Amino acid sequence: MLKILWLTPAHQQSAIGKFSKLVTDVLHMRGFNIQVCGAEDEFDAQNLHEFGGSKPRSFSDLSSMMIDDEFDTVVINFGDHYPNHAKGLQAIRHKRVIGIFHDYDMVNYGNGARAFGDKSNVILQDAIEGAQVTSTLASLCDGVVAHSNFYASTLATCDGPLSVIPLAWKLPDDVRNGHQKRNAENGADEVILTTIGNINPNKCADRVIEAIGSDDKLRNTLRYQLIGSISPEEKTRLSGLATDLGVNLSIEGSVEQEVLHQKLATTDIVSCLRNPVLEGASASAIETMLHGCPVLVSDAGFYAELPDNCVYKVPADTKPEAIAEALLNALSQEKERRQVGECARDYAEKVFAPENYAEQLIELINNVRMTSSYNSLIEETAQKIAYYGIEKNSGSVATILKALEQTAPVVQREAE
Amino acid sequence: MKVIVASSFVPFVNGGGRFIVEWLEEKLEEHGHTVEKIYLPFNERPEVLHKNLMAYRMMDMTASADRLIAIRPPAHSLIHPNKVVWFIHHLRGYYDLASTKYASFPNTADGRAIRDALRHHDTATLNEARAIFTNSSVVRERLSRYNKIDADVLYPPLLYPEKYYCGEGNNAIVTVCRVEPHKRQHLLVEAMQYVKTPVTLRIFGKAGSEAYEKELTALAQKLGVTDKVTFTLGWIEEEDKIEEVSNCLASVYAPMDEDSYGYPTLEAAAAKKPTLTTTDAGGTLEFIRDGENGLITEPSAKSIAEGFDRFYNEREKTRKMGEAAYDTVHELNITWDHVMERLLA
Repeated sequence: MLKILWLTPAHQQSAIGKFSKLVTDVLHMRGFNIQVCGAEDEFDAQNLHEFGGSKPRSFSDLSSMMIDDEFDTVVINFGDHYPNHAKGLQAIRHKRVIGIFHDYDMVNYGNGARAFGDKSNVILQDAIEGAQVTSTLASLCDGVVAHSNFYASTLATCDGPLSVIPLAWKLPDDVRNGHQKRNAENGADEVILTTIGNINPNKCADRVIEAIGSDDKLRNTLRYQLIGSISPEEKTRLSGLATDLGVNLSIEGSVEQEVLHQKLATTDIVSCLRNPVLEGASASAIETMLHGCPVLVSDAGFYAELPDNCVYKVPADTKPEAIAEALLNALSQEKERRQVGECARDYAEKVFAPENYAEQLIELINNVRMTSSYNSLIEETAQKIAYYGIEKNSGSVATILKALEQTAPVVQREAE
Repeated sequence: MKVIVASSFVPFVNGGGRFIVEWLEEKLEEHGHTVEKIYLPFNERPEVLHKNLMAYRMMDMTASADRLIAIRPPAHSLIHPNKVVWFIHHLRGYYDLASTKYASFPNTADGRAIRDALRHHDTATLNEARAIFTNSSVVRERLSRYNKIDADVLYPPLLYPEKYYCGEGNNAIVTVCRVEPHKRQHLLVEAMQYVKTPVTLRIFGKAGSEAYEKELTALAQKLGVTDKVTFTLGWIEEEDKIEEVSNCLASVYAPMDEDSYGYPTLEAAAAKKPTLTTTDAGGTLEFIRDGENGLITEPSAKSIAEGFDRFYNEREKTRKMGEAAYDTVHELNITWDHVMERLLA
């Protein structure tokens, strides 16, 4: 039975924590021995996700020497929030590390590490720009996971295997089973448009308000609700904008998960617009797709890779005019709108299933374990080539590299 | 056809793994082929395993011969477009013995990674072959279980079985093989304290270690069976072996979980002598059928002793079992003509 050390934010507010629970539960059922460790800077044993196969521990509790001997792989979840992922910089020094990169741009993580991290840890000292942080961390891993193709090349600094695996996400069983009918089916005149998550400028709520305000039909038909945490300043700004443009806006603030699911069950359209697209994949978008909601997305990054018949795509620059056009299209084709939602749900249930993720991750884990066992041979061979002064483009090097490729499941990237 | 017969070897260790190579070379030449026999050293210690495998992979034999026949692992790692593998056993310390005290690697994450990398390598390189044969059903089953490869069984024959003859039969139970703990000569010595008939035990073979050699002789003394057990430890010449086997009462071969029936079983059968083996001996059970062409007992000293006494007390049956053993060779098609036909197809 292989043993996995799984590093993740473990507290209940963390979406990555929820993702980790979904995947590790499947891995546990498949026979893996999982030890979940909190990646947070300050590990709090209260209010944690319930991981089926493991009680989360602080990473600091584990002996460094023991980790390399005992664990067949160390899986580190990286996200652009230093306090939630601080321990990743310690864990990355171990053997057989697989980095799961949830964000393409990790500028905040880099800044946090420099400001609050161990000053003797110089890993990110020179990585200032967001993607540079990501690629630097990837280069230290033995294998990496991207959740969509658009940022896979950023992770190609990793010498080991790279897998693109759709993010795992799932609705609670009681939510899936007890879905309410949509407003439109109930004959309501009002059409509800929703944006969920941490309501910040990146979510383009202001552009949506402008779009609604630019058209009479949209203004008269749509009620736009914002659900999720919001700063007082942003709330004031958006409320003022809506009032000026005559847009029917409600700002709900943070709600319990149960309430969120109820709201999504009665939402007609969800806006998951982003500008810029920073995340590797969007749990919010997937959640709304799983609810069978038609979703408005920016045609960029993760969202661009979603099938055209499952979402409404708005050009990447996300201008209010384009948003208005997409909304009008969705409103005018009620039947098609429902079909888009159903298509989204079918697609999401299949592609973002935790079982699917676990299957692909297991393959990556085995590849990383096997290829890592060749590390000392690769290093020794490289040293000998250098010792004999053999040029990297010589036939001898090609022969040696070919033999290495034919011996092991390793792939030549560049002759070094 | 120009044929390379390639095999790995452990320096200074001689045994069945070399005979199959030497004899195959001779028979290929007899059949008119030009043969080059290649032995390559191999060390399976985990700290050098990958380096050794890579060395094998650097040898491309394509231009050197029409066909490559690979025997002992990891000879199947050699590169040739017409590679045929006659697979005699895995590096068992990384496979079926991986969870036992005979494992070849430490039970750490590093060790397990090396184990799985080897299995992956073996599967990939074996699948390059145009045909894969095993020397027994036991090895075939392991290949299927661990590498998901379906192979055919091709039993290795003796070089000159016709040199053996069926002598009158004295009272000796002979065992001719390497003298090693897993061949369990100590169990046979222990059995001799329980025999009730005048049978004697003759142990022939080269000892793998002085320690085991001393252990055996000390055991015989301790049990007071030095008058019933003789040791001729060292390499036995072919003519001497033929004489001993051809004139014995019966043979005994009871290794622990062996890969195949073993040449000792075949040698006895060639001389129309039955062999006693045990229920846990592995590949011998593919040849020996209890009471028909030999005896199968529990792996205990007393049970083995009872078997020895049966050979003595039921001499006529012993003779008939010997003849049946001889017929079994032909039933299982253990001939060089058959081997040539399969390997060179």
